[in-house]
Amino acid sequence: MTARADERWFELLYLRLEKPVFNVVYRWLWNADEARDVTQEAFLKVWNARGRVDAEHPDPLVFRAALNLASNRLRARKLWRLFTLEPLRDRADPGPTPEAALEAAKSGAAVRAAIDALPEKLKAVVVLCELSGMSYQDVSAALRIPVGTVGSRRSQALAALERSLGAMEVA
Amino acid sequence: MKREELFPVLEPPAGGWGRMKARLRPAPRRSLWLAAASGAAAAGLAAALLAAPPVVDLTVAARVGVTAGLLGLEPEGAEPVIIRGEGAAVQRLNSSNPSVVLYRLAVLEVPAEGER
Repeated sequence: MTARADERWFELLYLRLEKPVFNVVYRWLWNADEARDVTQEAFLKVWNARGRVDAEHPDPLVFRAALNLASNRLRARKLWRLFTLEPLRDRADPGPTPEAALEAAKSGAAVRAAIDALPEKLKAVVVLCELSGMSYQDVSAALRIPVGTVGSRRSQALAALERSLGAMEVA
Repeated sequence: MKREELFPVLEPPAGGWGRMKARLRPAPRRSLWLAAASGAAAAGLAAALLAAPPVVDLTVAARVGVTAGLLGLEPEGAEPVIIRGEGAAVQRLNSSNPSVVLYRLAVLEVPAEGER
Protein backbone atom coordinates (compact mmCIF):
# COMPACT_ATOMS: atom_id res chain seq x y z
CA MET A 1 0.00 0.00 0.00
CA THR A 2 1.13 3.58 -0.62
CA ALA A 3 1.49 5.95 2.28
CA ARG A 4 -1.76 7.66 1.31
CA ALA A 5 -3.59 4.36 1.08
CA ASP A 6 -2.14 3.35 4.44
CA GLU A 7 -3.47 6.50 6.02
CA ARG A 8 -6.87 6.11 4.43
CA TRP A 9 -7.08 2.50 5.58
CA PHE A 10 -6.08 3.55 9.08
CA GLU A 11 -8.57 6.40 9.19
CA LEU A 12 -11.43 4.11 8.25
CA LEU A 13 -10.28 1.58 10.82
CA TYR A 14 -10.10 4.25 13.50
CA LEU A 15 -13.49 5.72 12.71
CA ARG A 16 -15.08 2.28 12.73
CA LEU A 17 -13.46 0.97 15.91
CA GLU A 18 -12.80 4.01 18.07
CA LYS A 19 -16.10 3.78 19.91
CA PRO A 20 -16.08 0.03 20.65
CA VAL A 21 -12.42 0.08 21.67
CA PHE A 22 -13.05 3.07 23.92
CA ASN A 23 -15.99 1.30 25.53
CA VAL A 24 -13.98 -1.85 26.17
CA VAL A 25 -11.05 0.06 27.63
CA TYR A 26 -13.37 2.19 29.72
CA ARG A 27 -14.56 -0.98 31.51
CA TRP A 28 -10.99 -1.50 32.62
CA LEU A 29 -10.10 2.00 33.69
CA TRP A 30 -13.46 3.68 34.42
CA ASN A 31 -12.00 7.00 33.41
CA ALA A 32 -12.88 8.60 30.08
CA ASP A 33 -9.64 10.54 29.63
CA GLU A 34 -7.47 7.55 30.36
CA ALA A 35 -9.65 5.34 28.19
CA ARG A 36 -9.26 7.78 25.32
CA ASP A 37 -5.47 7.85 25.75
CA VAL A 38 -5.20 4.07 25.88
CA THR A 39 -7.49 3.75 22.86
CA GLN A 40 -5.21 6.04 20.90
CA GLU A 41 -2.09 4.23 22.07
CA ALA A 42 -3.58 0.97 20.87
CA PHE A 43 -4.29 2.42 17.44
CA LEU A 44 -0.82 3.92 17.37
CA LYS A 45 0.66 0.46 17.96
CA VAL A 46 -1.36 -0.87 15.06
CA TRP A 47 -0.24 2.03 12.89
CA ASN A 48 3.41 1.46 13.73
CA ALA A 49 3.03 -2.24 12.92
CA ARG A 50 0.92 -1.67 9.80
CA GLY A 51 3.39 -3.49 7.59
CA ARG A 52 2.76 -6.71 9.50
CA VAL A 53 -0.98 -6.27 10.15
CA ASP A 54 -3.58 -8.27 8.27
CA ALA A 55 -5.18 -5.25 6.61
CA GLU A 56 -8.30 -7.22 5.77
CA HIS A 57 -8.90 -8.37 9.32
CA PRO A 58 -7.26 -6.10 11.87
CA ASP A 59 -10.00 -5.98 14.55
CA PRO A 60 -8.70 -8.74 16.86
CA LEU A 61 -5.27 -7.13 16.86
CA VAL A 62 -6.65 -3.70 17.74
CA PHE A 63 -8.65 -5.07 20.66
CA ARG A 64 -5.78 -7.22 21.88
CA ALA A 65 -3.45 -4.21 21.89
CA ALA A 66 -6.07 -2.15 23.70
CA LEU A 67 -6.67 -4.80 26.37
CA ASN A 68 -2.95 -5.26 26.98
CA LEU A 69 -2.41 -1.54 27.35
CA ALA A 70 -5.45 -1.16 29.60
CA SER A 71 -4.28 -4.01 31.84
CA ASN A 72 -0.82 -2.51 32.08
CA ARG A 73 -2.27 0.88 32.92
CA LEU A 74 -4.49 -0.65 35.58
CA ARG A 75 -1.60 -2.52 37.16
CA ALA A 76 0.49 0.65 37.21
CA ARG A 77 -2.39 2.53 38.79
CA LYS A 78 -2.84 -0.09 41.50
CA LEU A 79 0.87 0.00 42.23
CA TRP A 80 0.76 3.78 42.42
CA ARG A 81 -2.14 3.65 44.83
CA LEU A 82 -0.14 1.47 47.17
CA PHE A 83 2.10 4.46 47.76
CA THR A 84 -0.35 7.34 47.70
CA LEU A 85 -3.58 8.48 49.31
CA GLU A 86 -5.46 8.55 46.01
CA PRO A 87 -8.16 6.06 47.04
CA LEU A 88 -8.96 8.18 50.10
CA ARG A 89 -9.31 11.26 47.93
CA ASP A 90 -11.63 9.35 45.59
CA ARG A 91 -13.93 8.47 48.44
CA ALA A 92 -13.79 11.94 49.92
CA ASP A 93 -15.23 13.54 46.76
CA PRO A 94 -18.65 12.10 46.00
CA GLY A 95 -19.65 15.06 43.78
CA PRO A 96 -23.17 16.48 43.45
CA THR A 97 -25.78 14.24 45.04
CA PRO A 98 -29.35 14.97 44.01
CA GLU A 99 -31.52 11.91 44.67
CA ALA A 100 -31.75 10.73 41.08
CA ALA A 101 -28.06 11.19 40.47
CA LEU A 102 -27.34 9.39 43.70
CA GLU A 103 -29.52 6.50 42.66
CA ALA A 104 -27.87 6.37 39.25
CA ALA A 105 -24.47 6.60 40.85
CA LYS A 106 -25.35 3.78 43.22
CA SER A 107 -26.49 1.62 40.36
CA GLY A 108 -23.45 2.58 38.24
CA ALA A 109 -21.16 1.86 41.15
CA ALA A 110 -22.81 -1.52 41.67
CA VAL A 111 -22.35 -2.42 37.98
CA ARG A 112 -18.76 -1.28 38.07
CA ALA A 113 -18.09 -3.25 41.24
CA ALA A 114 -19.69 -6.36 39.77
CA ILE A 115 -17.67 -6.11 36.53
CA ASP A 116 -14.46 -5.39 38.41
CA ALA A 117 -15.06 -8.36 40.68
CA LEU A 118 -14.93 -10.73 37.72
CA PRO A 119 -11.71 -12.62 37.17
CA GLU A 120 -9.81 -10.87 34.38
CA LYS A 121 -10.17 -13.72 31.88
CA LEU A 122 -13.98 -13.71 32.31
CA LYS A 123 -14.14 -9.96 32.24
CA ALA A 124 -12.16 -9.79 28.99
CA VAL A 125 -14.52 -12.22 27.31
CA VAL A 126 -17.77 -10.68 28.46
CA VAL A 127 -16.69 -7.11 27.78
CA LEU A 128 -15.44 -7.98 24.30
CA CYS A 129 -18.58 -9.97 23.52
CA GLU A 130 -20.89 -7.22 24.73
CA LEU A 131 -19.07 -4.16 23.46
CA SER A 132 -16.62 -4.92 20.67
CA GLY A 133 -19.12 -6.01 18.06
CA MET A 134 -16.78 -8.89 17.17
CA SER A 135 -17.86 -12.46 16.52
CA TYR A 136 -16.89 -15.29 18.87
CA GLN A 137 -14.30 -16.20 16.27
CA ASP A 138 -12.69 -12.78 16.43
CA VAL A 139 -12.91 -12.61 20.22
CA SER A 140 -11.13 -15.95 20.36
CA ALA A 141 -8.45 -14.57 18.02
CA ALA A 142 -8.09 -11.41 20.08
CA LEU A 143 -7.69 -13.32 23.34
CA ARG A 144 -5.90 -16.30 21.80
CA ILE A 145 -8.28 -18.81 23.30
CA PRO A 146 -10.45 -21.45 21.60
CA VAL A 147 -13.84 -20.35 20.32
CA GLY A 148 -15.59 -22.79 22.66
CA THR A 149 -13.85 -21.19 25.63
CA VAL A 150 -15.24 -17.81 24.61
CA GLY A 151 -18.78 -19.15 24.91
CA SER A 152 -18.23 -20.88 28.24
CA ARG A 153 -16.43 -17.94 29.79
CA ARG A 154 -19.11 -15.58 28.63
CA SER A 155 -21.78 -17.72 30.29
CA GLN A 156 -19.76 -17.88 33.50
CA ALA A 157 -19.27 -14.14 33.51
CA LEU A 158 -22.94 -13.36 32.93
CA ALA A 159 -23.93 -15.80 35.66
CA ALA A 160 -21.55 -14.11 38.08
CA LEU A 161 -22.93 -10.68 37.16
CA GLU A 162 -26.45 -11.94 37.66
CA ARG A 163 -25.55 -13.20 41.12
CA SER A 164 -24.16 -9.78 41.97
CA LEU A 165 -26.82 -7.59 40.41
CA GLY A 166 -29.93 -9.74 40.17
CA ALA A 167 -31.52 -11.49 37.22
CA MET A 168 -30.98 -9.83 33.84
CA GLU A 169 -33.50 -9.45 31.06
CA VAL A 170 -32.11 -10.35 27.68
CA ALA A 171 -33.24 -7.84 25.05
CA MET B 1 -31.61 -5.17 35.06
CA LYS B 2 -31.35 -5.32 31.27
CA ARG B 3 -28.17 -6.45 29.55
CA GLU B 4 -27.83 -3.09 27.77
CA GLU B 5 -28.07 -1.27 31.10
CA LEU B 6 -25.17 -3.33 32.29
CA PHE B 7 -23.07 -2.42 29.26
CA PRO B 8 -24.31 0.94 28.00
CA VAL B 9 -22.43 2.19 24.94
CA LEU B 10 -20.65 5.43 25.77
CA GLU B 11 -19.50 8.12 23.37
CA PRO B 12 -15.75 8.67 23.36
CA PRO B 13 -14.52 12.25 23.86
CA ALA B 14 -14.87 14.34 20.72
CA GLY B 15 -11.99 15.03 18.35
CA GLY B 16 -10.50 11.58 18.55
CA TRP B 17 -9.43 11.26 14.92
CA GLY B 18 -7.92 14.76 14.92
CA ARG B 19 -5.78 13.90 17.92
CA MET B 20 -4.93 10.54 16.46
CA LYS B 21 -3.86 12.03 13.16
CA ALA B 22 -1.64 14.52 14.95
CA ARG B 23 0.09 11.65 16.71
CA LEU B 24 0.83 9.72 13.54
CA ARG B 25 3.55 11.93 12.11
CA PRO B 26 5.40 13.74 14.90
CA ALA B 27 6.94 10.59 16.37
CA PRO B 28 9.69 10.03 13.81
CA ARG B 29 10.35 13.75 13.56
CA ARG B 30 10.67 13.97 17.32
CA SER B 31 13.11 11.09 17.40
CA LEU B 32 15.15 12.71 14.63
CA TRP B 33 15.28 15.94 16.59
CA LEU B 34 16.25 14.01 19.69
CA ALA B 35 19.01 12.18 17.82
CA ALA B 36 20.25 15.43 16.25
CA ALA B 37 20.22 17.24 19.59
CA SER B 38 22.03 14.37 21.31
CA GLY B 39 24.64 14.28 18.53
CA ALA B 40 25.17 18.02 18.72
CA ALA B 41 25.50 17.91 22.49
CA ALA B 42 28.01 15.06 22.30
CA ALA B 43 30.02 16.86 19.61
CA GLY B 44 30.00 20.06 21.66
CA LEU B 45 31.19 18.23 24.74
CA ALA B 46 33.94 16.47 22.81
CA ALA B 47 35.09 19.76 21.25
CA ALA B 48 35.12 21.48 24.63
CA LEU B 49 37.14 18.66 26.17
CA LEU B 50 39.64 18.67 23.32
CA ALA B 51 39.97 22.44 23.18
CA ALA B 52 40.26 23.08 26.90
CA PRO B 53 43.74 22.68 28.39
CA PRO B 54 43.91 19.96 31.01
CA VAL B 55 43.44 21.34 34.48
CA VAL B 56 46.42 20.37 36.56
CA ASP B 57 46.94 21.34 40.13
CA LEU B 58 50.56 22.41 39.89
CA THR B 59 50.91 22.65 43.61
CA VAL B 60 50.00 19.03 44.04
CA ALA B 61 52.00 18.13 40.95
CA ALA B 62 55.04 19.74 42.33
CA ARG B 63 54.57 18.15 45.73
CA VAL B 64 53.97 14.69 44.37
CA GLY B 65 55.93 14.88 41.15
CA VAL B 66 53.83 12.29 39.35
CA THR B 67 51.34 14.26 37.26
CA ALA B 68 53.59 15.58 34.51
CA GLY B 69 52.09 12.92 32.29
CA LEU B 70 48.84 14.83 32.44
CA LEU B 71 50.58 17.64 30.58
CA GLY B 72 51.92 15.23 28.01
CA LEU B 73 55.42 15.84 29.32
CA GLU B 74 57.97 13.60 30.92
CA PRO B 75 59.74 14.81 34.08
CA GLU B 76 63.49 14.85 33.76
CA GLY B 77 64.17 14.20 37.40
CA ALA B 78 62.27 11.98 39.72
CA GLU B 79 61.48 14.70 42.19
CA PRO B 80 60.79 18.42 41.79
CA VAL B 81 63.34 20.71 43.31
CA ILE B 82 62.07 22.82 46.14
CA ILE B 83 63.38 26.34 45.97
CA ARG B 84 63.26 29.16 48.53
CA GLY B 85 62.52 26.94 51.45
CA GLU B 86 59.20 25.31 50.85
CA GLY B 87 57.63 28.26 49.11
CA ALA B 88 57.97 27.02 45.48
CA ALA B 89 59.13 24.10 43.41
CA VAL B 90 60.58 23.76 39.96
CA GLN B 91 60.57 20.67 37.81
CA ARG B 92 62.31 20.08 34.49
CA LEU B 93 60.14 18.50 31.84
CA ASN B 94 61.11 17.09 28.46
CA SER B 95 58.94 18.03 25.52
CA SER B 96 58.55 16.13 22.28
CA ASN B 97 61.02 18.55 20.68
CA PRO B 98 64.50 17.61 21.96
CA SER B 99 65.70 21.18 21.62
CA VAL B 100 62.99 22.46 23.93
CA VAL B 101 63.01 21.93 27.66
CA LEU B 102 60.28 23.19 29.88
CA TYR B 103 60.40 24.05 33.52
CA ARG B 104 57.32 23.91 35.60
CA LEU B 105 57.17 26.28 38.51
CA ALA B 106 54.69 25.87 41.29
CA VAL B 107 54.03 28.05 44.27
CA LEU B 108 53.51 25.72 47.18
CA GLU B 109 52.43 28.21 49.80
CA VAL B 110 51.43 31.82 49.67
CA PRO B 111 53.98 33.65 51.80
CA ALA B 112 52.68 35.53 54.78
CA GLU B 113 52.42 39.29 54.52
CA GLY B 114 55.60 39.83 56.51
CA GLU B 115 57.65 37.53 54.31
CA ARG B 116 56.97 39.34 51.00
